[in-house]
Amino acid sequence: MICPDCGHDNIDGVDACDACGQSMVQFDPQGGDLEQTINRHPIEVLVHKEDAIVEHDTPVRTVIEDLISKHIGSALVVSNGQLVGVFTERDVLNKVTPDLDAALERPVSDFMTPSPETITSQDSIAYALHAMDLGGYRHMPIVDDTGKPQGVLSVRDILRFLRVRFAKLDT
Amino acid sequence: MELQNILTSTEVGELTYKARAKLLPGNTVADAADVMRTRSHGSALICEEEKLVGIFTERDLLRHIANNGNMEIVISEVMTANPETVQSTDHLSDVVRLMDEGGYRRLPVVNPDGSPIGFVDVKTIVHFLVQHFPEAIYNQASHTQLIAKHREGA
Repeated sequence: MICPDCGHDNIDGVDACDACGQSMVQFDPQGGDLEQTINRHPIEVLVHKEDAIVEHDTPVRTVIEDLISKHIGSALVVSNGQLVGVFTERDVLNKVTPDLDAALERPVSDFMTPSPETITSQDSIAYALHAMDLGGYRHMPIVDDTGKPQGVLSVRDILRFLRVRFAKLDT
Repeated sequence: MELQNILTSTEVGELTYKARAKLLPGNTVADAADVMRTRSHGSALICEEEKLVGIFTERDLLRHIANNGNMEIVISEVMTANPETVQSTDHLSDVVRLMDEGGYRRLPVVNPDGSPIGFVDVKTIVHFLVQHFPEAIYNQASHTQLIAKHREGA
């Protein structure tokens, strides 16, 4: 059980948080096994694929090659170590293909989606599911408290987690 | 109801399909990109005599740009031919398994005669899950919003 006050990960069923003493009784997760798991587990338990983090002035051509070689669908664009945008396959379709030859040598910052919605690695899987459904995102950048990007959560990471954890679909 | 039961008892036909543009194998990559862009679609169905022969997706486009970039070549050369398909009577569990195993983010739905109906994609599945577990999902706040950065009070 993650303490909602201080974030300490307690043993399931404790009455009070071991770190800060906050009563945990009212936060005892309700609902079935699935509900409890997606509320209790932060997204950091999911396996992330190799993430592409690129500088804002990288040519689009290089970023596209990165996406292909790393088998990923989006890259995080940074400037001075801070996340400034994401660049996805959809940006390629919408913004790069109309004038392909001229676009490929221009910086990725000309085509990225600026100021994307982000999550932290301590947010719950349930929160990520909601945010992705609401925004229609397939990917969400994971940042730390200072806005430094740590990786990307893909909606397929969540589906895989649920499949492995709950849906014994192979039998 | 448990997730496993929901997935094995729900048929693909109960979900909302995403209708997608149909193109011919002889159309060019530029044609496909134009149609997908104007309709805000990430994929197109490639059909011959009303039968699905391939799909063309954002990923195929990306790969093509990295390899060659000639937008005037025909789609049949760069599409994903004979893609894995599902029918409306298949179960959601089959869709999730196929997507995970194959690394697909969408699967075309076809009639028994092979004519395409549309796509079911990962976002459709996520929306389905969110609707089925509203108590667990809607009440969530971000971790960063829950925790005070500084001790309150004196």
